[in-house]
Amino acid sequence: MELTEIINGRLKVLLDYIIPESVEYKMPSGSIILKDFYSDEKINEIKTKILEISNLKDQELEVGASFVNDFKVSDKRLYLSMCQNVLKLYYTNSIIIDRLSNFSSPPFPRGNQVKEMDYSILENVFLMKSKYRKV
Amino acid sequence: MLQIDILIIGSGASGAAAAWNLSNSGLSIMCIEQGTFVNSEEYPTTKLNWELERYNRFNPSPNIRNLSSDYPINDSESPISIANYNAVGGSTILYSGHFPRFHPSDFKVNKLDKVASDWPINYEDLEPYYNLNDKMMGVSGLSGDPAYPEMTFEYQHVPIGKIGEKIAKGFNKLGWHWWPSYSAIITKDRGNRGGCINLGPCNMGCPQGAKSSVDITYWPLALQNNVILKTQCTVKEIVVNEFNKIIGVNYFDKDKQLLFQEAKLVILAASGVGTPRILLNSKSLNFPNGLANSSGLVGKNLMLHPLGYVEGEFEEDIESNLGPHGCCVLSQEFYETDVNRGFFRGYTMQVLRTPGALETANNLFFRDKKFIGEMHHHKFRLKYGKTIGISIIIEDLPEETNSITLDDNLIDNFGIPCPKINYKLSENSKKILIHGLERGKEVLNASGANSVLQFGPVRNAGWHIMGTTKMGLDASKSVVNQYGQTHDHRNLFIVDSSIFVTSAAVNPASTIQALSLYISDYIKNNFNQIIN
Repeated sequence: MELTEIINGRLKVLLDYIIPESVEYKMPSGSIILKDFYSDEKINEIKTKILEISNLKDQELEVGASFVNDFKVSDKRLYLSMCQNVLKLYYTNSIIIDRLSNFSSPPFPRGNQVKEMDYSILENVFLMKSKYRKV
Repeated sequence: MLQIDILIIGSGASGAAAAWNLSNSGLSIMCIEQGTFVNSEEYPTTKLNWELERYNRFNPSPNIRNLSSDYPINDSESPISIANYNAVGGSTILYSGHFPRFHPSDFKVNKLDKVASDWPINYEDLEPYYNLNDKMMGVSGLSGDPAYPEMTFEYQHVPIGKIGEKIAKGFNKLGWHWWPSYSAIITKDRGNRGGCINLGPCNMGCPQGAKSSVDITYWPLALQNNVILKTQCTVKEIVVNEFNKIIGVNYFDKDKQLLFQEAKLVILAASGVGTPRILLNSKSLNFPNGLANSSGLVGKNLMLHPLGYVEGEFEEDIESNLGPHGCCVLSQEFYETDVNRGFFRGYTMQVLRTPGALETANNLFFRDKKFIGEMHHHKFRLKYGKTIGISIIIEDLPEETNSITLDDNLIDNFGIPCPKINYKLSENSKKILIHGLERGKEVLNASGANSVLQFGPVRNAGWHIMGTTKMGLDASKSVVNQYGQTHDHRNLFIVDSSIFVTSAAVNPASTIQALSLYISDYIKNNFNQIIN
């Protein structure tokens, strides 16, 4: 198995751990942004770390919780920075935005209808005596 | 070199209002601005991944944006970092458009509460200019608010929506004041500006043109009246002659050439941080501490409006992601002084709608360890569109020790020293903040929130920068007089929030512009007398 394939597989494991798939909410997992993640400014640091903690003799792609945990523990700063970047790419991804939107979102094709106010709820305030201090 | 009567430094809220007001006076007006026009087609919200640009080009911190129009600010020792935007329109490009006025009591805090100083002007002096500014900008609101003297509005207030009704019920339950927000947002079409269609993130620029930023309100009219606007120009210093008279400014143009522009009168409109920076950098043999600084008060009395933030999470979808983010309802129940509370002055509660998906996710990431991993989507759905935020805007009283100084080790692209923020919350401010956070929690609970979180001061919220060239009648205790004219140089004026004597407890944009119109009226009516 090629080294890049191993890295790719393990990066996918990390992304899917950070954001798992949700059947209930019909949301894909974090690896939906795998391709975009390769342009992350820390990608080389992340790849090096993946290699460092992977058992390359065992070239199985099936790694799980222990791999994620090893990654986390070995460089917490890098892991937290990675999480933030995953969130950034995930929540600005067009498929994700589309799934979240039951309303108009940028770039705003149509705008939103917002409930008109029921003015009766303002009655008590309207009837308050003047609240500002006279000078 | 062009012969100019009046040179304005800065094209934001105050500079634009002054430029327009002076543009029909027959005087020649030039404005120098370090940024450029931002094309509304380039606003982040014209793109699907709009939230990403909050992390770079449209970040409110000049230190993160680091655009050619920005200068760095050393705010590392302040609990509140400075937020601004440098472009034609200044910070109005990114403001939320929340537009309440000062109260009459805000101008007389010493007379009423024996704290700080009184303004040498009062609410009634500014009232016609508030009205004029509302008309020029396009402001929406609802008349009849018991927290204010009578006001009328050209545009109906922005809809408060389900979120507004939810929190309103909480305020009503407690018997507290609330009112639909006053907003610099038009709710129906006006010329080539579209009325608000409740898109949401006004604080990333409004491509619809509904938010009243001055690049689309005052500037088109000022330019039509032949005001010269020079962009991408950075002022190095104001130049004074041996008779204490200002003769012009030295500035770097867009090709980084150092030029001199002569002017009969100079108006500073460079913001509460930019204005003292220019004055302190304008040193000479006769003015080793900078210009207009015989009182030693340039840069001092910095007020920042420390913000508290309270957020409640609700069971049902309250559509809190629909409508203008910063404009929903406000409460001024605790605005005026009540000594029984243990502090002077008070605060406004500004109800905020939910931010976008990425900001919601980021907030959760920092607040909830379980957001990463299997609970991710569940936790996200609990928040998104189901929260109400309340910003507690407290009145920050002036302290001479809170100041802007120059950091000689920090320079901009032109080698000009940059500002350093020296700021601590006063005991009074801390007490107001605690009170506000608790009352915020109380109203969210009364509205039916499942859980409430609160914190303050919010770090990245130093938008309101005030007091650094204080107004007053006594030249030894202030920098400018009641007309914004510096005590030391009769042809140098300041029209931005630097001249605030106190900060009030509301967003300052409306008052900044009313003051600018009031001062520029004085200049217009007395120009010959001033320059001779």
